[in-house]
Amino acid sequence: MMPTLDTVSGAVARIDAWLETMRGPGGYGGPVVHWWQHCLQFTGAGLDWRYEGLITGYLNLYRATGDHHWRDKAIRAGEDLVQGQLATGNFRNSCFEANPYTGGTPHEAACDFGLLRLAQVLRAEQSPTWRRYHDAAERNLRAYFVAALWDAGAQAFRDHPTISSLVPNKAATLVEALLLLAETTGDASWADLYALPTLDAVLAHQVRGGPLDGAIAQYSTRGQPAAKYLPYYIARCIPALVAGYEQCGDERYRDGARRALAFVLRQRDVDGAFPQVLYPGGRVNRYPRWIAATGDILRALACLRPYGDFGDPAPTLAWLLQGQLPSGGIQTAHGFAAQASQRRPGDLPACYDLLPVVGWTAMAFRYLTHLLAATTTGSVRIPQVTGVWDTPLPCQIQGRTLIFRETATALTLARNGKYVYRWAKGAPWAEQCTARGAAI
Amino acid sequence: MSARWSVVRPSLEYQYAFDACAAGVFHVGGAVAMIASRALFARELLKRCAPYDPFLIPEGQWTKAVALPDLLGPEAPLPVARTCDDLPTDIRCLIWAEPGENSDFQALGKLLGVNVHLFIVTSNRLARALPEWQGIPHTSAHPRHILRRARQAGWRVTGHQGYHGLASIVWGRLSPLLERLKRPDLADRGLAQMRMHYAVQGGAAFGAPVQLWHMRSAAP
Repeated sequence: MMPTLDTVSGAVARIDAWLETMRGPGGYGGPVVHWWQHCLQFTGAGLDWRYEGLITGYLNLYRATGDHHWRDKAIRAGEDLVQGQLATGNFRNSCFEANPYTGGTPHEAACDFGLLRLAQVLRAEQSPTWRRYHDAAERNLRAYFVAALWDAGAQAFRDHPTISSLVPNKAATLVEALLLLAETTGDASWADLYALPTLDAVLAHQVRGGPLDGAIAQYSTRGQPAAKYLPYYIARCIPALVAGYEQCGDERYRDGARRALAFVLRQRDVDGAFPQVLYPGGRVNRYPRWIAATGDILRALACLRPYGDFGDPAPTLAWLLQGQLPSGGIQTAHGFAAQASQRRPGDLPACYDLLPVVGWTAMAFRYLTHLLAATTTGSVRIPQVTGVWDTPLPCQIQGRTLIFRETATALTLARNGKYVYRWAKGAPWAEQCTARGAAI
Repeated sequence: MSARWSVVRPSLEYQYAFDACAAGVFHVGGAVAMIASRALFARELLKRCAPYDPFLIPEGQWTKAVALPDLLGPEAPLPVARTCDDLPTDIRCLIWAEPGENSDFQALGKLLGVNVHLFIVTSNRLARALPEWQGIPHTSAHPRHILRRARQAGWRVTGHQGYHGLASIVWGRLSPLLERLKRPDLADRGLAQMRMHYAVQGGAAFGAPVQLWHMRSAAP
């Protein structure tokens, strides 16, 4: 059963209150945990895909409530990106789990998407400031993606300036930004020359037939797809395929999106979560299973909703909402402790499971605010709340018990009363990060 | 690759070491100086420590080959290049990236007694496999040599971390083998093991290719 609007608006209010505590100089910061690598030492503002979720989420709230306060938060986030844009067109610290570096994919494209959405809303209100955000996005798309990553031979965007490679979910995020740019500029060449050929390359990575039907390979190098299928990243391809279909009416894109979603939903566990990676031969690495990031899977489901009822979002939405921490942030995952062994995790979460990450929580925020905006326009009430701070939450790292605590000003992990990790919110670097605590 | 887009990164080993230096500098506060034996190291340290207006002391010949601003890339600020003797007396942190065999620790003597934190990034012979040392001789002093010299000069060790410990290296080598044996699932688990054992401290740190020493001046 779907939660009530009050439940969703309450969850959104708590996320917003938590996000306010995660702001520092230059934008939203904090540690990052990820399947590939964690970024625990650098905690400064990251101008990465968190801004796609944040800007879109705040614009959703503006639409749902009609309250300018939310639009102003979207503008503030857009301003973070404009102020953090470098002379090269890149955004500062755009590599999420690999920060502090620039040139992050799909992160910079995701920032562009957020900026273009903001520009659309401001332009519709005849605010002259729309150009500022629009131009920043266009500058990045032209100067970085087209100039450095477009592979004319392959008719797709590479993931690296010099290595022939394609990562479908990253390319899909870029396609979403390019299609938006085509719309805002009225210049169809962004779609025809770059976005649609790239979508064709994404479709070429999709499995046809057999138990993996609909799955999209995680990446390819020199034309060789890797037989690794990550439901979360496959879901991130779906909105671009739907947007491609809506742009040109090519049924292949809608069919690709349907198949991809069907594959993702076939993998769903009874508790609404999704395994991390599937491989040929029925092999799976189930853990860690995302919690906050399932917002993007739910978004994929919502994108296809106008074209049929492909599945029930309720179990996954329940999974996401049960992951909200007392602070208001959303728990990142379940099962990081089992990443290497893949044995069923114990009751005690890994510290990486609990750490709330702006980038992941923003994905939940985006979907939950979408639910509010899609249900009622202009009449939703978001309650005033604050986080519940300093709740001790037991967790573990490599079998040793730790206590996770979060306040409005700090995030800590302690063992026997001694910090193994401490981040003073707003600081660009963690204060305490022991060698084991800093394990990648 | 074009230098226009700053997507060139050092190997993860050095990224970790430089991040830890920057975190240390941020939390100690005060004036910062850095000695870098390579342009790459200078660029990475300056990028991370830019908000603290660091003094850069180039070591070796690298600044003679190319103009400093070109080497440091679009993100790094122009450094204030000084010699060791020119450093102000209120330096609180000194980062030294890859001292050579003949590096002069005594020159740092003037910093002793003023409660200075010294961060030394160094590497052992395993680092020769890293991209940073491909095609050029590994000129860095051995970590144990650094330790001995620093202690002789009056510095006391307060921390020692290694990046890419030996267990991690073994798991990292095993993973591609498992890929070739058509077990990508096991290969990914191997990579997870590699990450779990990546950062090490204590005796295990000596086995890691890149190491970070944190030292304090012994007095007062």
